[in-house]
Amino acid sequence: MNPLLLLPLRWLIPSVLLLFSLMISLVTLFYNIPHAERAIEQEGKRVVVQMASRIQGAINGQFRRNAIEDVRTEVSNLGSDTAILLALLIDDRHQVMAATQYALIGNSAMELLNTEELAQEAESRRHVTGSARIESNHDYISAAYPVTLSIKTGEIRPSRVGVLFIRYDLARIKATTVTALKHEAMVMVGFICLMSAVLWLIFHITVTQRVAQLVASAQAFADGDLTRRSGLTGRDEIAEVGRSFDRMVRVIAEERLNLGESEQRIRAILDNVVDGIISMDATGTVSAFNPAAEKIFGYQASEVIGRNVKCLMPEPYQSEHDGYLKNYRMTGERKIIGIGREVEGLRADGSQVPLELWVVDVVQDNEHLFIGMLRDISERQQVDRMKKEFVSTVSHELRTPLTSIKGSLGLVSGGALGKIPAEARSMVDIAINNSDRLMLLINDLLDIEKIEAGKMDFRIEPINVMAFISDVLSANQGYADEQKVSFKVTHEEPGAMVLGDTVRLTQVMANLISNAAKYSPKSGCIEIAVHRVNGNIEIGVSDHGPGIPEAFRAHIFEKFSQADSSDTRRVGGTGLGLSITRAIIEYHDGKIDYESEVGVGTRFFFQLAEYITVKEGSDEG
Amino acid sequence: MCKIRMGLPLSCLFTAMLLVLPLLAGCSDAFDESTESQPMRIGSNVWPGYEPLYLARELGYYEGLPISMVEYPSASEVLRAYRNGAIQAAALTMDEVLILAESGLDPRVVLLLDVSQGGDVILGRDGVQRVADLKGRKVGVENTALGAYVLSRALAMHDMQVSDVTLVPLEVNEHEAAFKAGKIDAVVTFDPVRTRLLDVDAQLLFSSEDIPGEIFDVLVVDGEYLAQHREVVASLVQRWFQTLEYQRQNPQRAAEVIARRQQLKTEDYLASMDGLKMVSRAENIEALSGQSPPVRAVMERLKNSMLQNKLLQKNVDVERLVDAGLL
Repeated sequence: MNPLLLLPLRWLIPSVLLLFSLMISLVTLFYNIPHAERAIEQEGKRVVVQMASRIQGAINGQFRRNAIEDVRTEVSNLGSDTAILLALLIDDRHQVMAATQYALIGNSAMELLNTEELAQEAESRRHVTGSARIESNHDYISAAYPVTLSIKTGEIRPSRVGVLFIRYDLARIKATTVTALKHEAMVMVGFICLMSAVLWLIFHITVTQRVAQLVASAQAFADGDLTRRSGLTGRDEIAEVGRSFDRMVRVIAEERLNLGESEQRIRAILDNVVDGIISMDATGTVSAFNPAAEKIFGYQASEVIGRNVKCLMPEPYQSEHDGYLKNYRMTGERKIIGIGREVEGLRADGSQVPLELWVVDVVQDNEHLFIGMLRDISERQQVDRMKKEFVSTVSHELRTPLTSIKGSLGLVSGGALGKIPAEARSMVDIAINNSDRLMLLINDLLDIEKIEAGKMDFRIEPINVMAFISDVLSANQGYADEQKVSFKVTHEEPGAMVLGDTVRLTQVMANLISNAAKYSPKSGCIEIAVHRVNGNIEIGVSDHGPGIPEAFRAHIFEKFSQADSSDTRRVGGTGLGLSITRAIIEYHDGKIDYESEVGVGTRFFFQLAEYITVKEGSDEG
Repeated sequence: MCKIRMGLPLSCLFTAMLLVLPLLAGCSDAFDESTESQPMRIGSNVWPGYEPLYLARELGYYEGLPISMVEYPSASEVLRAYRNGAIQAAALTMDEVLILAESGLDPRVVLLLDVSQGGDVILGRDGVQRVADLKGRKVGVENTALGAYVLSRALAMHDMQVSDVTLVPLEVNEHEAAFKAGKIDAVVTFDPVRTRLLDVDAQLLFSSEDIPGEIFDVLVVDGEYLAQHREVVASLVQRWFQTLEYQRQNPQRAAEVIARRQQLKTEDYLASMDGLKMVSRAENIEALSGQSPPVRAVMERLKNSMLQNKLLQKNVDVERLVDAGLL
């Protein structure tokens, strides 16, 4: 913006006026005065030329008539004009014949006139021409006009030439005029100064004071005082602004009241919710901490708000948390946000507490606001642990006697105790089958327990996928024959490699195949397909069974779950297989899922990252 | 803070003012030159031969031209005004021009106006019948102009001295009154005073017919002014001939206009015109042009005569007096 507009009005307008007055004085000094002086000189010259030539003509006539006294009178009369400093009539012998001062009569012109004037006089005499000249110091005008003196006897044409010399004052007229001009300028300047002061006062009262009032109200408003009003009245623009401002403050005050009520309601909800709720900004600084969170962590809200959220975390998360946030900000990759997780919390007394944590990221005005919701799950974990211990203990305790039972039955069935009667054979076979099932069940339970306890061992090595599939199919061929189903490989990816534990992945495949076999119709075909999908190797196992209802999707990979419990008896199974399968695939950083259409079939598939081997002599590098 | 902010706008205004002031100062320069642009002022006394200058004004021939006529009562006053620089051009007799040149002035003859053929006279009262009768008589004469030449030529032609008569210096506007009042016995004068005095029984003693070709009128322009405003003077010369043409075609109408200025009856004016002859353009060209224009010989004779009669004290270079370039 133009800096000129940045001045307060009460200063701007008077200063502009004062500048005008300054200009007036400057114009007077540098223009008007010299101009007036020049005008005076020009006018003075005109007056002197007029006067001198008139007197010259008169004196010529008086000499013609030989009226010498009239000549003296004519010259003396010039003395009445105060502007005429000196008037002399000089004869042809340079003697003063007549003058405005009698004392000068008879004197030599040489003594009375300066060099310049004498030159002018001589010039006038020589050419019989009149001239008026402004003195070099511009103080007066000197005029020299020739006059024809009395005729000499014996000549027709008069040859004697005298000179009328006049000094005409300029200095005094100039001084008077300059004084008048200066006076005029000063009156003008004074008047403008007065006007400036009056304007200052007017602006001070009508603008500055009222704007100050408005500013004070605005500042009070900024400081949170919603009751203050500018209270400006009048019909001018500032009053208009004041009224608009007051209206705005009133509306905002009302809105804030409404907001306060709404906030109280929300706060009541937050305060009474069972889950702990913590909000924080993008740097991890805690901005809200509800009573449930207080209860979980043993801190007062006031102790935590303003601190970094990592004080609620045990090591190593405490040290690494900044990294997580930074990483999230940079890449958007989530560790916890939007994903429910079980984490450890650090309580005020230093103890750790298991928590289920859910974090959402709310973006408000381009600022991240993270809201963490937590639930103390220490009791639930206790129950889980007890359950696991129970299962483990039971499994171990069951396996030992079962092993003995199986061994004994094997011996009986093998005829070690002699040929068994045909009636007993079917009973023994039933006992062997069921002890096998029991063994399978116990092994699954033990696997689950191992996985959940993180005690399962994996031997990771490169696996050729197609060879692996081939091995798996031949190993399960017996089972397939038993179930009266066939295998068919519908798509291959020759040379595909993955990293994994062959034994565990074989278990995964066995699980999926046995599931497929179980739900396949008689003489059904199980289709196995291998695909490359986005750098992963996907292995799919499809059947043409009844399909899985969509409602069951959420529970399919959970423990002890089967789509229809009425099926259990017909198809058998522990209900642990898919749970174990998922645990194994997740351990491989893989992904397992299925797609199913009721009445058409089901396809289970898992994906593992493809292992790229660098071949000798390739152009890599 | 205010002071810092005020700095910028103030300096801006100051700068603007400083830019404006020289412009104002520039305006004041025009003041001095205003006198320069004034019209050419042409002075003359009353004489029938000069009348076409005024007839042209009457006819509006000067409209749009920077030309202004200034009327003086006598040739002496015209000379004085010319010497004082009050006029830049003048209608004068040739002898008067020579006197101006003698003073070191620079008059240029650009046009021959007329030749006096009886218009300039010496008139006597009852009892003064001849030039010789002037001995011891009071003779009124405009001795600062043409009158001095006419009287000196008349006296010389009758072998008389200036001391033989009593000179009464009178300008032409004083002649009629002085003569009628009997203050003088004879007067050296010219038209229209001549016609008016002849009406009251004055005796003709001498006229310009006695010295043919010696008295002629010219238009002179100051040399410096001519150099600077040649086109204005050229227009004036052109208008002069235009007016002569008008006068030739409308003699009656022209005579009425002129007679009023001359304060003569129209028939008296027409009669007075016998005393002079206007010089046409062709005659002007013939007289003024050429390597050695005929007028120069006339001027030389006039100069010598004036030197002889002590009307001129110094020799005058007549060559540079003529400028025929405007014809």
